[in-house]
Amino acid sequence: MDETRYKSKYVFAEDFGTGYFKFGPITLGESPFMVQSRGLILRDLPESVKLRVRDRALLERGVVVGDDEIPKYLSGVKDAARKLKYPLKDGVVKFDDEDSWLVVRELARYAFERFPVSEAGFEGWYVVIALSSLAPDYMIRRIFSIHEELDRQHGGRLIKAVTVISQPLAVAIAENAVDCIVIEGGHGNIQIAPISYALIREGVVALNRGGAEANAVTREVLRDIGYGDVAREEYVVELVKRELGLVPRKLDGAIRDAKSNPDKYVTRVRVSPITEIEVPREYAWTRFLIGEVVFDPRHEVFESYVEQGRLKIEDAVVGDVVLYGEMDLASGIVESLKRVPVEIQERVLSNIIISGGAFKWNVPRGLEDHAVDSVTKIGIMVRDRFPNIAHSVSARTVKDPQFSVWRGSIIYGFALPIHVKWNEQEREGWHAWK
Amino acid sequence: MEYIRALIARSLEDRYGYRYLSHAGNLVEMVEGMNSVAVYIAVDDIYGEAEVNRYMAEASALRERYNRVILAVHESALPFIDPSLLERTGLGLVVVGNGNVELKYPGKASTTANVAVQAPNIEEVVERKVLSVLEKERAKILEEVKRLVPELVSEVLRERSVGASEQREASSPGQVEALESVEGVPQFIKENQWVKVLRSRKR
Repeated sequence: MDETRYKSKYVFAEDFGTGYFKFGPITLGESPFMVQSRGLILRDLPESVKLRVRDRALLERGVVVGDDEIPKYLSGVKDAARKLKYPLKDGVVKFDDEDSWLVVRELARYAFERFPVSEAGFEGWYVVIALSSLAPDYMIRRIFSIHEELDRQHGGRLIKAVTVISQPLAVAIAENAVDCIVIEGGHGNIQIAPISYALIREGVVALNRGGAEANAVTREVLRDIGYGDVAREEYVVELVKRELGLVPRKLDGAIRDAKSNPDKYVTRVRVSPITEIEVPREYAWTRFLIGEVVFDPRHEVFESYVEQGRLKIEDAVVGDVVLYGEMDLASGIVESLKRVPVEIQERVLSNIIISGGAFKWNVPRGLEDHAVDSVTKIGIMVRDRFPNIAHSVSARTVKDPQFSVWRGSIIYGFALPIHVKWNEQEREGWHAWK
Repeated sequence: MEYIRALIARSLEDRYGYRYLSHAGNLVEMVEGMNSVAVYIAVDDIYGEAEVNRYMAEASALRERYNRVILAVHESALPFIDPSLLERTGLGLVVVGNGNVELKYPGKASTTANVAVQAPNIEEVVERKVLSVLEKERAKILEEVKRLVPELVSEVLRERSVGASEQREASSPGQVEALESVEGVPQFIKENQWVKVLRSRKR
């Protein structure tokens, strides 16, 4: 069977997102399988629960993954949710966090087990693993060795070769964009990744904020308006953020309007059958802070939050990458652009692709004067701060935010020739061990 | 003066085996074998007998410090030079005229001079020669680099634009059609321009 025909059946992609693990072969079409990126370490369970585990192999592996499997072992466990291990933080697994690596290995094993192959011509999957662009080298090496181990356990017939793709590049491929800037807004960080026929690695700029900072501001707003007790529950905060949060066209103007016409912005959010949160008139303007913090946290309003220790906006280091805390999004784009060859700057700027949960914001009817979506906001920011490049800027959101990375990974695995050997510096090519 | 001095030093080096050491004003310090040599340059447009004698006296005074002293004059000064005076003083004579330099008389070496210039040892001489050759080579290389850099930059830019256009050609929809014949390939792959881009990757 030639390469194209073989790969049209046997390319397999795994997208290790911080929240969800998406996986499956090329034959699934456009939608993969999906489970939460988490595992239950059996060691931490009481003996009475362990006795319920009949599968000896599972006991030996010591971890359960899969949204259908985990609940079987959670009943009767005190503080069940706290015993769940989420291996990825900001898309990165810590070097020495062996429990997290155990979960990652089990997720990969779980994925292949869902798709057993018994066809005669099958010699192993071509596996594409999508990781954060911030993933350090050690993470790639460890993921390769996990797949080698899985292959050995299957008699060397499970995996033919494995490669890694960075998630922003996978988004660009899924979006059919060869020259673009992908801005991926996750829970913990925002990655700005320029792409021109490949990821321009030196142009990647990361900001140390995302959905989590919007949550933090939401939590403070809830405390200020007297809902400190519900503010402790993360899912409530997430829900309130989605319902209340607004991205201002311009923060000062939006606050002025909300203070002079508070009734326009007063709203209620039902977080449970018995709990409804109401934003009072005098706090209606704070809805704009929730969205603004993702785009530009340098306004004096945030300064007071930071000074009071209610919000943390600071630089961080993940692997060998510095994540900027205070840099606004427009400056991040320009900073990234500066590291791109001059002759392609305009091309990539004319195709900004926005993806990720941190950029999902509603624009309620009647508030369009001062509330905008992420694409409009980015356009306004770039035009305001860098008017000389404003004419080149064109942004859009990704068409299918949930599965675009997986889909891009499948295309990548299908098209990348098998004779391209893995190159650690380029982070491209197939790693094979047979 | 600069030109005359360079002409004399160069000629004595190239044609008579002298080695240039340094210069100051109208005096050039050189070495010939184990002798320190002072070349006293007195090249004027118009000479008189008195001037020539004064120059010879000034040059003779240098014999206390150098093993040999050579007076350099324009050929128009020759009628005013008394050969017997040269014999008595031990001065050498260099004549400059029509762009030529001729060592008419090398002069007598003094063994009693309080030698101002130490004859360099062979390592120093070799080192100096090597350094001078290296310096010339370095200058040549710098010139070459200055000439080549703009050519290389434009070459790289040309290749980049050719590469990009090749990739764009490779990614044209027409070429993706080759996949149409392969069964089971999802449509979203067949229509994706990255397929051709990635398929052209080589290593």
